[in-house]
Amino acid sequence: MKSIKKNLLSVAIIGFFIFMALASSKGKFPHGTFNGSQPRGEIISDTLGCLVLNNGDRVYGSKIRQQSGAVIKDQIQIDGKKFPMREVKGYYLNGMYHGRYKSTYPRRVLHGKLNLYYAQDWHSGTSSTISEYVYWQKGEDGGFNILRNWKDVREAVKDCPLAYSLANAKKGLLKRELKRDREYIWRIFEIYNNNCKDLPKK
Amino acid sequence: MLRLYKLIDVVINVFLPILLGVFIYFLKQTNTLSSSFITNYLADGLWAFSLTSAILIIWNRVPSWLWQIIIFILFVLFEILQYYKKINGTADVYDVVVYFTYAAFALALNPFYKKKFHNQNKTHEIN
Repeated sequence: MKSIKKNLLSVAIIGFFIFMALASSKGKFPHGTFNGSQPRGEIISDTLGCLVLNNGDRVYGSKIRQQSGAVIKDQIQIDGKKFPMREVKGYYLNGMYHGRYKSTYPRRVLHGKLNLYYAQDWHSGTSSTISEYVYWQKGEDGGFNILRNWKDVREAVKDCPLAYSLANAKKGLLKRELKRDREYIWRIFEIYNNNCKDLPKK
Repeated sequence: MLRLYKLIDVVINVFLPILLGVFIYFLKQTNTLSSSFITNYLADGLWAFSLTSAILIIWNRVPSWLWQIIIFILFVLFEILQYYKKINGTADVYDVVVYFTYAAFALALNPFYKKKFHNQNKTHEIN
């Protein structure tokens, strides 16, 4: 009898721990949702790299290197010329813009009234595990806000009723839509950037 | 008295690791913790440690090998389901290594905690 009780308790505990593990990943977007290889909403013809300084000046070059750590203070180099990160608001490399957030430069994947930035963080020692970070920004100089779940999407587009309504659908529907087509979430931001008007059908 | 010792055991080996794991999880969510080892591995490890300890405590720290095997299968299954995109997350063989290491750590500490918290009734009986 006592053994039955212990077995039942073991099942309950395992169930609880599984629930906890699943809950911690609930509401997150599927891996790679924002990893667009081509930035949207921005046309870049300049293939040469350049740093964009806080005052708007540009410093051109081909090799850009970031360094941060305990010994080397946060700095960014272009063809060997060093600049403190706090003086460089972003840079262009291979036709893509990277904006500064703390001491990182996530890649801009959507450009418009609302910008989206994407960054990856590799686990040391393995290339198979990647953490993804997405940030949204209003305007060119707005602050970065992290985008983790649908609540954050709603916060980002709350001043656009059409985009907000698409992000405010039932949880199950949002999950199904995103599973069926990852463009669903992009559409929300593109509607926002299209002055809150629906996009033409493709 | 034994109940109190068992409760202390639960707090130290189940609640505290889970609370620490949840704390790390929230730090990761708010982007205030930059060490990927802590955010990606320590929280997972603490989860595995806590689960293994909980099962050991249920069985009065006499290891039920059936349940230990079930836990170890669960660790592997979790990553397999992530690999096949059945659940959210990124499959990583290192996660399994972390789960196994922390579960083994809980098992290695078992004789110590058994002596400290679960053999108290014997002492009382003698007295």
